[in-house]
Amino acid sequence: MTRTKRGRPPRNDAPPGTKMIAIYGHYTARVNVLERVLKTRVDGVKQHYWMRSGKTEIKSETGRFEFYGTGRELAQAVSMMDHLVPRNRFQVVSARDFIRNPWKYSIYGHWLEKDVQS
Amino acid sequence: MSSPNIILGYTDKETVKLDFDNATFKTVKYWATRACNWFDLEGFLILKSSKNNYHVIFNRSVSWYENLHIVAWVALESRNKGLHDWLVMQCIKEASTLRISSKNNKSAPRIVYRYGLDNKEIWYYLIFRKIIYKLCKKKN
Repeated sequence: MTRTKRGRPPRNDAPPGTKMIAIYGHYTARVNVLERVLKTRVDGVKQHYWMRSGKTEIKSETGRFEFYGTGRELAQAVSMMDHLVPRNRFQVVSARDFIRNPWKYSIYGHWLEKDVQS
Repeated sequence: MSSPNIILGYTDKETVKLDFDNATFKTVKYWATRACNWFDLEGFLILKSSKNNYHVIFNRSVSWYENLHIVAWVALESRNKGLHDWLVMQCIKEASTLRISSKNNKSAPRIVYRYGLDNKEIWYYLIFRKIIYKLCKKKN
């Protein structure tokens, strides 16, 4: 999973009446994974914890970007998508914000040729 | 530059969209006409996405609640499994999406039937379709 936080995925926060371009598909990306780490508690008892200790794995999953903005911004954002995949699985973002800071919303990865539902 | 295997689609909340899987054109046209007349949707566009798979786009702008109301009514009455599954996915996403670009071995959806007005949501859809076609051409 590329999602960093547990629980409900982010809401669709696009302003009402916005038309968006959806970019979706299967991808592989190197992501941080949880690892079971043995730690000693303050009371001296040793206990296993699930932590992100920096271990990474290449994972394959589906994800989508939803871009909104002007035609020029959308074109620029889509042209940047060759080797970028969403950081969270479902990402609604302004094309302008994405162009300014792509690594905030995406990570390096490869899109795969696999069937996916819209 | 090799083109990545991304699929481009059109997403919004105001357009009533339907995605019929494993349905004949006659069935799709029947349900589109019935929904158009019943909910006063002014007009519709039928696109063929692949063999026995069709997309329908209606002209009138609606709220997200009304959109779900209409799509759920058609899904329930038509008993189309594909449409039902698609509706559930759109409810989770809180916006509805239809594919515009080609996908693996399927070509891009093409217009096969027009009915009524096309000056509101259909007009927006066709503009976005044009933008996405241009982007796909540039990429290839």
